[in-house]
Amino acid sequence: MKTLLSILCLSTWFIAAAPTLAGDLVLEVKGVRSSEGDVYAGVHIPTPGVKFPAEEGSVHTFKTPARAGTITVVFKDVPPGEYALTAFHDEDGSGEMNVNALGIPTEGYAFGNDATGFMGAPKFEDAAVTLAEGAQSVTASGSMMY
Amino acid sequence: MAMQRRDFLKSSAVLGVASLAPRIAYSISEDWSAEFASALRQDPRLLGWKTPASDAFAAAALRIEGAWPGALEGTFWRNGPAVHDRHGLRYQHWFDGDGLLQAFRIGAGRVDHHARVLKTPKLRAEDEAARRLYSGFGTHVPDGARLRKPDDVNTANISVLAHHGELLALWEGGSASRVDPESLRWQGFKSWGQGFEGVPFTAHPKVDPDGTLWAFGYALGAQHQLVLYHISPKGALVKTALVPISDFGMLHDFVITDKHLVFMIPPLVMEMGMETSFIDSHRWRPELGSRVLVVAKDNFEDRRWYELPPAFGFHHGNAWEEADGTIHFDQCLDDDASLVFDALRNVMRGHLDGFGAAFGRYARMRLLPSGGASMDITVDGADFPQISPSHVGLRNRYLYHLGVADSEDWYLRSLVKRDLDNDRLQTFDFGTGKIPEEHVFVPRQASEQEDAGWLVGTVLDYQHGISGLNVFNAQHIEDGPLATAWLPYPLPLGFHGCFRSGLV
Ligand SMILES: [Fe+2]
Repeated sequence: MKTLLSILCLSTWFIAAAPTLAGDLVLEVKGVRSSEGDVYAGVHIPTPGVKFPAEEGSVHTFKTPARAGTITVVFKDVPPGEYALTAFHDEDGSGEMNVNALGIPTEGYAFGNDATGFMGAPKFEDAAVTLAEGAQSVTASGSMMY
Repeated sequence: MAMQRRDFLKSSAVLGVASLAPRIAYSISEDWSAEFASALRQDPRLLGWKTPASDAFAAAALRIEGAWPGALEGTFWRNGPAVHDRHGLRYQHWFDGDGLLQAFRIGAGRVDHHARVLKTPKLRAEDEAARRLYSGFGTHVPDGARLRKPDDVNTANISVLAHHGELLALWEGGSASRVDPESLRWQGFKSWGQGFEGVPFTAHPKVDPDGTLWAFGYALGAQHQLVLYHISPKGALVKTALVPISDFGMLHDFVITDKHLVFMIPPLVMEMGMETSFIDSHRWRPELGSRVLVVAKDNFEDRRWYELPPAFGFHHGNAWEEADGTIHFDQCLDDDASLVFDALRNVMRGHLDGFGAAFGRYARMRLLPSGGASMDITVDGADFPQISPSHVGLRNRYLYHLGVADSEDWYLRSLVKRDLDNDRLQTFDFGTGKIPEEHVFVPRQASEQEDAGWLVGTVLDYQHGISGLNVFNAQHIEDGPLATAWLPYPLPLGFHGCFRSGLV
């Protein structure tokens, strides 16, 4: 969990999208409790050999100054596929998600569909939404838990 | 409801056919509030498990019966579960209720009482939602809120510690809570240092005579771990360690010598992955026996293990060691954990049968330098053991605990002073109609004698519907209390307290 989104990696989509098939991917991070620090969010795709939410499975991450409430980001021309949202609220501006001695995050985090895991992160499938071929858009939404 | 069905199956297997009829009756009804209210009308003993009418209450200049010792000045703090009913649900285990912190402020022969329910984030979230949101220690709340971390369900309801000017309400599954000693309001979770936010902290830390604080936590997860804490007299975290423990579960207390920490680990094992309450995720596995872990105070990597027969206990008295390294320690022990699975649950629906018999007996253990270990369980029903704070980790002659007055007793009814040098007991029987709670030892100033001091603790008089604060002369407890300060109301039965001269 410590490495979740801990490195900011601004990249373009790894596949050049065929414009006719592509749609919008809307990321919605709800329940941000304060305007302290930054919110980091990422989009993950199914990646063989990578355990969600390890950052190797993320295709795009972004960082934005925190704003209490909901933060929405729209990605245009995204190829069809399955996408899982992950996010954390770096309230102290340290650039990474703080965890305690037991590895439990001590800063707020969110997963798509508010998915929860048992004693750890949820499964990719539970946190993912599908952007179908020909669909205009899909929203990947999750609420911060502190 | 799944839990009640399982209860029924487990209990009927143990108790036999005679108990089938009432058990079936209980399993039909899901409304424990109505069941409890109806049982309380028949049986005043249950007053101790009734939720107080309000979240904060106080009484000044209590009526004093007897001669209150003028030299006894300070604050006696207590904690325990109290909010058993809220938002239309009665909890189904004694350990689930939200904590009620109490202060008895004592001075110049006068006693004032003040109590307040601790508004933890858990209770605030539930009050906002106007419903119970989380499964607890022994109650499964279906369709609850998402559980993020242990402190989301922290009820701060077990004990209270005053250390280096700070008052802490103690739980054990997560953080200790900081409490304002004047208002008794919940202030925030205590972090002992960077990275220790939300790391579990026991309700039974131990304090060396010099003020050094030793504590532990149990962290149950994919890999169960024991957390060790060494905290200076000034409240600074000196060192910690994480010890992986296989087949581990709830661990309530530990004990220290002048050189070691001693953990008696019962074969009560948390098996992860069940959608149920905390305790119902545990299984009793006697084939594992009891494992005793001894850790050096000066080096948390120096660890030794001993084996003893399976047993379950909540509370230790003390530990000390001989020059050759032999460690002596004691505990109130039962054959298994049925107390926590059954008796402490059934009381919540007004069912007291088998309640007293489920409590432990006084037991003494020895750990030998050769690696051998022995366990000697007496026939004396006992719990809530206490010693003089000046003898923590050192050889103590006296131990004070609650006891049963005879084998017919339904619960702890007497105060016992145990002379460990010659196994002589002094006993005060409170008699029918009263339920004593933990009595703590308060040393008289400037005395060398181990038992020169008072025993201070609460008692519920269920026949008159009031509670009181007792003070005993610890040298003559068979004489009964020197004095009792009577409240104009009853208190819910709680768990642990501490005494401090001064505010904290
Ligand atoms: Fe306890």
